Amino acid sequence: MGVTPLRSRGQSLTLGELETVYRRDGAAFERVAIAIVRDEQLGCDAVHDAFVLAVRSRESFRRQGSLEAWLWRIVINEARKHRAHEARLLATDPNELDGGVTVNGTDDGTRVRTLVASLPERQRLTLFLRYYADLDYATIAQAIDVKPGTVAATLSAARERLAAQLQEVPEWEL
Amino acid sequence: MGALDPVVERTLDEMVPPRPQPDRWAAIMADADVDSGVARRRQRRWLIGAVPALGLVAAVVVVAVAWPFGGGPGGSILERAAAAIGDGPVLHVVVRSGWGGTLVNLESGKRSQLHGEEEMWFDAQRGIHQVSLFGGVPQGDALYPPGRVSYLDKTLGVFAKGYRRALEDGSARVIGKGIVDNEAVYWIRVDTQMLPDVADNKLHEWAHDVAVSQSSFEPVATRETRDGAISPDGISTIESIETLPKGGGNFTRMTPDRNGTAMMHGGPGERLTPAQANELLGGRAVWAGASVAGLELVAISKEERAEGYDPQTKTWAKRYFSVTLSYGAVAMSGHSQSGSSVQVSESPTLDFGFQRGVIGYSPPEGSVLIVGGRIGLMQRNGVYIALEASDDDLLLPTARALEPLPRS
Repeated sequence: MGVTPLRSRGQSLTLGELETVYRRDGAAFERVAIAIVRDEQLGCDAVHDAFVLAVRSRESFRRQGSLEAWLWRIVINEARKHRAHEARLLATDPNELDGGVTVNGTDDGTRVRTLVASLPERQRLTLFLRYYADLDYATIAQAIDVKPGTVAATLSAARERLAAQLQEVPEWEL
Repeated sequence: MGALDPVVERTLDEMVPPRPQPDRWAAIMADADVDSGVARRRQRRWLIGAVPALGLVAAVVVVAVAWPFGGGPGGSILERAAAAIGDGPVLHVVVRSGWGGTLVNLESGKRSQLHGEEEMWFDAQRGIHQVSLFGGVPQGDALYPPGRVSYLDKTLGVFAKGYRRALEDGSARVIGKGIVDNEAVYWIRVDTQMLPDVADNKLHEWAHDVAVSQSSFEPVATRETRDGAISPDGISTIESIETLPKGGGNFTRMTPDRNGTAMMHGGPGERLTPAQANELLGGRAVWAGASVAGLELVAISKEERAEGYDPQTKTWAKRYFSVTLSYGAVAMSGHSQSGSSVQVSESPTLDFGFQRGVIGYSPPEGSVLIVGGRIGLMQRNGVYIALEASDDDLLLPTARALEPLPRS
């Protein structure tokens, strides 16, 4: 994933810059948003709405961090809002859309989905940003507002947790 | 990132497959324009449906009906569907249920289906009133306070919590065309969620769809799908839907709440002679002859029922009775019945304990309502009749044979 060069501070964010990021990284934004809300339509809507918001509030971008990280924060927030809205629509606790699902299936994919869903939200989100969007640690750190070292530790913890739980079930060994 | 387990990588790709770069920048720019945002936003959502990924079938269907997505005179399909149900704060829906019975004209043999109905009033401020009806008679009802939509039947729940909102906020999407009860419809997907099924321990996509008429855009049916397949409950037909002004609708319970009400059912009790049976029923008792369909009349007995026991006075608030004529095999005390049989129960009242299959409803004389294949409900000679047969082909011969019981 490319990084848009920072313009000098004080210059307003242009529509052209936003369009460049959208056309270049839109698929990655949508993939992560879909993973967060677990629904293709809602995920796409979240990205759409995030960019509408970015266009409208582009004057507020202060260029104190990367444009990508700023956009990722907006996309993640919009995705979370869509997920919460969906949960209200379904009369469901939003957390149940993440970790509340308990499935003890024999199908590998189903179990892995369950394990991924059971990860703490930060681990799961970091995993999505890293795997689906191929973001570097610095951008992930800005996007979820943690230190870069925390990103590495979080990813490591997620990886170890998944590996450990996979190993608990002998038939999963490849 | 360190290496992930290949199974995890594969599953992550399956969860959200790689996607093409989106090309909706123009729609984003349009939506960022506050003045024209709403209309264009809805148009944008139509286009999303054409993006392949969620389901090949849905995508194919979407392509098949792509032409109306741009709206047209009178607005888009979703806008017209939203307008068709009005904007009042109270939603009133009547849905034809899948349960019911077959009404048979005893003389002509003509059959017609009678369906139960579910009627619902939904008001975000007052909650929900749901009534089950059969033949216009309330079978039972329930009142739910605001926020308890999850208790509702799924078909009604779609309207109470999802349909109007999904149309208004643009999250609904058209997934295809269809035919329901000979009417051309658009199917609109209202909500989708992934849920585990305890039967196979796998996640499945559950969705609720509403069919709207292609001419009036009013809802005509709902359905639930799992992984794209219609649920065994089939399609529920919407008989009417409307919105009412503030304060409108029925939010008063219509049937008695029998929770905690003591009920007593005694029988078969004392054996009766034909004369005694006739006397009990005021000379209106009927029978199917000394035998029917090869089954001999083996017993006439009295059954008693009561409800509303008062432990203080040790009395029942209401008492009822009926007479039962048993043809063929009769169950011995402590043993299950075996062999062919028909029981003809006769009651001067249509009380709760006498009811079979439906509550408070009996078809007019000259017809019989068959419920569940082996229960027949009818009226004859001024009394209510309930037939229970061991085989479904015994019901009609018995119903047709009923005639006044000789007094001696």
